[in-house]
Amino acid sequence: MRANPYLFAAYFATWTIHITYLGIIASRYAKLKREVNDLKQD
Amino acid sequence: MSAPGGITRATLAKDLRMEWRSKDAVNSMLFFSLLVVVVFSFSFDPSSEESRQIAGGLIWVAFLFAAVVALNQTWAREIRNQVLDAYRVSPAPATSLFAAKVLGNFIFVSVLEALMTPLFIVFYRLRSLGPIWQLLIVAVLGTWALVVNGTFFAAMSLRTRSREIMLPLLLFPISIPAMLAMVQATTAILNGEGARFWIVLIATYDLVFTSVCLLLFETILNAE
Amino acid sequence: MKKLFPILGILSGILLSYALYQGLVVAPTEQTMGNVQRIFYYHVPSAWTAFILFFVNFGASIAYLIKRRPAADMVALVSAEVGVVFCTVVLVTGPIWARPVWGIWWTWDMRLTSTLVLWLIYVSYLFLRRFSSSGETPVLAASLAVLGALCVPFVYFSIWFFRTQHPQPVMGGGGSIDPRMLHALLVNWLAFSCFAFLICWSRYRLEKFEREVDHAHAMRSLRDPATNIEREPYSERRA
Repeated sequence: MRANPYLFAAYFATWTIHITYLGIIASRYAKLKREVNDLKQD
Repeated sequence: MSAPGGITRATLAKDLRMEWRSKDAVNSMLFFSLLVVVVFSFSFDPSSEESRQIAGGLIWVAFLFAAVVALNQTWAREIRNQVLDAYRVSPAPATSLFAAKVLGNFIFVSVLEALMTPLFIVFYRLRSLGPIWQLLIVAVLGTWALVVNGTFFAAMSLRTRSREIMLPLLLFPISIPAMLAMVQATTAILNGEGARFWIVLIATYDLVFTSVCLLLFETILNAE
Repeated sequence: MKKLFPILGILSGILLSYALYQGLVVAPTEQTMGNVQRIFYYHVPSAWTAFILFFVNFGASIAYLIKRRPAADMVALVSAEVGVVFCTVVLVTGPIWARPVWGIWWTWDMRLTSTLVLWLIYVSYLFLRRFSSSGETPVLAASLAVLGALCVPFVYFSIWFFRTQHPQPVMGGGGSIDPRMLHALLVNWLAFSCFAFLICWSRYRLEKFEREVDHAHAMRSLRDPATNIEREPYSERRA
């Protein structure tokens, strides 16, 4: 099938939004893990 | 005085007396909506024939913004002297407090509308092609919709940081259907068209939101 | 439970790739719109998923108001947040489809307007959660969620009437749909629901974890006031 810029843009945008959101969750999770480790060392 | 109606009446009388002495809410609303009228007149030609097409939207936007000014003050006053805490521990039903506040705000906003409407007519050369009494119904129902939700969300945003910003953020999205109906009804009547659908829609909206707000207000008041 | 999470992750990965294959290769090309129509396979399933999540939010909020269980509050928060993400996808892919097909990015059509209003309502819900102090957030948010959900029929009804009075370019062709297209659509929907469930689950775990850490901090400063460092609880800071 012929590549269509609009089709590509829409699929790309969808995954950008989802991955950004997943990234936010992951970074918050990592920060939390670090804090828990610091707490345990005290 | 222990009956719920008595408490509502007492609170309402107190609010009206305070407002009568200070005239804070009505004065600030009046000045604010006057500013809106002037600013809007720059964005289009107010004397043209098309102004009738947008007048409905303009009037209601001005009243909505002005009402937010008054709604923000409703509960702030009660917090200052811990009146709200006193209310929470008293056996008085929360719904009667809410009813009093809604009625009070309704009166303030109605006064504002009564004073502003002649100004609108003069500034924008409005002349209704439809019956005036229908406009009156739309005004009463629309104001009630704004005030019920506004009083409820003002009580809600009282508990948040930066509460003045919070009220419009909560109030505007939920009020969109009511605003749409009010604007459409007003425009339709001004242009001499039927507006029955919109009037029924606002009436239903009022009914649903008034009962749910009354139901949930106690929960909001005692949220801990 | 711990094992189920990676299994679900792999499953939704497979489903999403299969759905992508179905949508891009197996489904026939639409005759008038061409390949652009394939945006439909991402756009519509996202919309359905968002609506389901908002409905879950409504149910969880009512459950919270009745039973006051923290879990119901967390479900409400998570479903609203993920619902807003999916609704954002809908609002972004819609104009990208509209541009080549209608020639305009946006029109105040019934569906577009009502989806935008829905998005606004739930964004205001998330704002309330962010701005209120932690102890009161669940009750306030649940009340707002109930009012917001009650508002949805009014939004649809008013905008439907508003827009049928003033006709606008609307969705092209109702008619019958090719069974392969329908299949691709349903597979995509299944894949995105699975994916949404996965995101909700990880977000739920994060929320639970954060609340546990907050609780641990509170307990520690109660036991030993010397460790009472200046710390903003997670429930009150939102990244």
